[in-house]
Amino acid sequence: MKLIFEKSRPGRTGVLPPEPDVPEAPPLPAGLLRSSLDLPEISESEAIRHYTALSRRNLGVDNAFYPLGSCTMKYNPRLNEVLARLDAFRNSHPLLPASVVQGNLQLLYELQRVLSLVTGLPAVSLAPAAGAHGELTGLMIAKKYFREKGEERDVVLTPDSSHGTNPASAAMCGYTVTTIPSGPDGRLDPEELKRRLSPRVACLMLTNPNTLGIFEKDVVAAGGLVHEAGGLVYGDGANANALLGKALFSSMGFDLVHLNLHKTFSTPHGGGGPGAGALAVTDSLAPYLPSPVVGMNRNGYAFISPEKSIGRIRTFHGNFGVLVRAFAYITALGSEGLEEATTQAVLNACYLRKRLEGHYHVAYPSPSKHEFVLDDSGLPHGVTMIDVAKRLLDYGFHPPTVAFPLIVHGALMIEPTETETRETLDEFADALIAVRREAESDPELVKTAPHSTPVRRLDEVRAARKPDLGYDFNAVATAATGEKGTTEIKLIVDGALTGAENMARDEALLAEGRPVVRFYRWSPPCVSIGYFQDPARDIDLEFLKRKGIDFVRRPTGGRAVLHEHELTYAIVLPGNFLPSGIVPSYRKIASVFLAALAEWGVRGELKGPAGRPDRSGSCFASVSAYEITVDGRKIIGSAQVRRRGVVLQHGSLLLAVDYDRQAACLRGPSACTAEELREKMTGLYALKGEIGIDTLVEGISRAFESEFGVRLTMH
Amino acid sequence: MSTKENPAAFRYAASHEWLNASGGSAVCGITDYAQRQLTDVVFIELPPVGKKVKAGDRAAVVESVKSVSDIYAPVSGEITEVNSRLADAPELVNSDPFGEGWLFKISLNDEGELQRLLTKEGYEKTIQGEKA
Repeated sequence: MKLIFEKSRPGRTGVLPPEPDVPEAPPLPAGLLRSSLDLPEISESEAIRHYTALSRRNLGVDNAFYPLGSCTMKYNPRLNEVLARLDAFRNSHPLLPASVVQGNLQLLYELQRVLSLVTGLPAVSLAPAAGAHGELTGLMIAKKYFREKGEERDVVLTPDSSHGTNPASAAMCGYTVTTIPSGPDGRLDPEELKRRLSPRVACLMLTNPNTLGIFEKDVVAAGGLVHEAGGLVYGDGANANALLGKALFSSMGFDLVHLNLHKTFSTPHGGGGPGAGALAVTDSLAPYLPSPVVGMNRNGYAFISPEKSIGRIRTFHGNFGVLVRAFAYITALGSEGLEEATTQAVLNACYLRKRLEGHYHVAYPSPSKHEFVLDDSGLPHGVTMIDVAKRLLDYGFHPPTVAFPLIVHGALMIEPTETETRETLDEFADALIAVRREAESDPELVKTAPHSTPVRRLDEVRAARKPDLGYDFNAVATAATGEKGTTEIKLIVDGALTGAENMARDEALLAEGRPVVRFYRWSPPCVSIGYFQDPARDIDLEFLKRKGIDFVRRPTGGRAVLHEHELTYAIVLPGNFLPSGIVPSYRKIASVFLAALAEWGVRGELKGPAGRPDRSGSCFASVSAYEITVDGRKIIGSAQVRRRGVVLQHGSLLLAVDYDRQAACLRGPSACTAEELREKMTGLYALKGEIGIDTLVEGISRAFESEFGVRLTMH
Repeated sequence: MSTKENPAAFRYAASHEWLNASGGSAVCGITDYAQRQLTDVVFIELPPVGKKVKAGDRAAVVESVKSVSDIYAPVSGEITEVNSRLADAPELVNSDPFGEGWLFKISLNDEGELQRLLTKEGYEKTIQGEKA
């Protein structure tokens, strides 16, 4: 389907912005101003249709089971959306004084309180914007805590099954990370932990249940060992949806824990945000919490900076909309409801695991909680777990997480949403079992899946390494699909026009600033002169008049040219399509023409500069630097103009040269004799015989597509 | 030609103009980086004295290698003087961009605008970005 930018037409609009009701600010400096905002210009109906069409092609929680392990695609009640959009929540400016937003503060205060209740840890900060941000905040607190105690602790321990963010956050905070290998049952091995403990250890970071979905049954013992060694135990609460209402983090020996509110407390997430990574800590760490927390004073609820706070870690007060949803979820369910959600999450995962056990290999036999991990052992005919995941798309299911955790080869990590019905779970299990059978009977079908989706299998390496998700100045880039030339550039093929029309069109395209390639011709024949040329001095205007030759000034540089038997091109490109600097840009565009000439069997050459350019416009300068020549004679002459970061280059591919007429047009210092011109110019037809205009346009267009890696589309 | 240091006392626009302010007026030109990008300048069109420009308006036009490029006013004000030597010796822009190759002088409407221009360091970061 077309991207929204491809549907855009200049001047089309779907909204009427209101008159500004505030004073206009003084203008920004030139360097910060843009002449084009690069926004699509379409009607309201087109916008609605576009996004509806996109949403139909998407596979999400609204149209399919979405068992994405580790991500906790929890049920998101629609009511939460209504509540988060309440006027007073949505329209409160974060700089409003506490006295006028007491209700909002009360919500934050109450949320801190319930999160404290469900973790068992007394103090809570709602500031972190995501789980990993919560980790970083917790580790910064640990750092300050130990520094104030006068202890030098610079090591953080993480199990090899941990979320990648754990070691990353520790490294970001300046700690050295030591990895603990998991035991044969997929759990933390207390002996391995003991071996790595030392007075340098600041923290053990532990996820419980761990990323295999297995409960760390030795968590209390492990915590005891760390505490004995003087360290802290950090809890990654990413899997708290398997514990909520069943076990307290405090009872398991955790000193700090972050909760991914967007997972455990059910707010929509994915695509990178927004999240919330509330952090709960013990009494002894409470004074270090980031500023501000919400407390109470004689005026009511107030923002308070804890006594030894590590300071602000985020602007304002966290992702407030996410916090509202989390609070709504918690208060709607109550303690019994939260516990019930946990039970359902674990039950659904265990049910699926049981149904799949005979068909796929479960990576670790230990009992699992809210998620479990299959591995690729036993998959036949070289079929991989990625193939299985892709094939699931054909059955209408979003695939589970693949290739995580890293300690499992060919991992498929399944985490069903807690609200899924038994029927849905059965359909999913049936589909996975069917894929397993297909892997036996028709492995190619699985290996080449998906077959029924709007896009087929992507080039994963290219999609990950060179994600092409934006668009370049109205040239439309599509996501990496493995197709060549995904950027579309407009191609215009005009007929023969007057000089004024031709230059007006080029100038309009330059002003519009969109990438475009234009071909055109001239009728009547026309002399064009450069921006700085003096026609009275350089052109025999009488001769032009007598012969009915048109006359026009170009916006570009260079000297006078008679346009008669030629194909003219104009290329408009925003600067980012071209190497910076004028000469490199000539070279880049010349590569197009050199390639096209080569196709027609003509060996062209890009002439370099011959000393300092001549200002006189004299005949010696008529083959100037960066023209394309054949055996020293010019065959394509070009010139540029650059305005506001956009380049227009136009030029002539000479087909046949009437040397006498060409010479007769020029006078003054720039005059040339026909003989001189014969030495300096040639036409393509003299070299290769007549070639049709369509063939020339086609050849140059193909060369342009290949040199610029784009697709030209006719308009 | 060796690279010329961007003077620390000057201010810069991301579109590669420099400005050297003193009192209520300023001298403007294009940077060494800009003249290298242009290569040999052969023609320069300067604004008429007395012309009022806004920051970001086209103030001058140069031609090099048959390429015509706009030069923008870094600040708003009135053109008070132009470098008349450039008509016959445009190469000064290449050989001495921060000195004899200056383009025009401008009286400042609002000295506050100077704060919105780039420092030497800020400008050099911008160039690094362009090269990348």
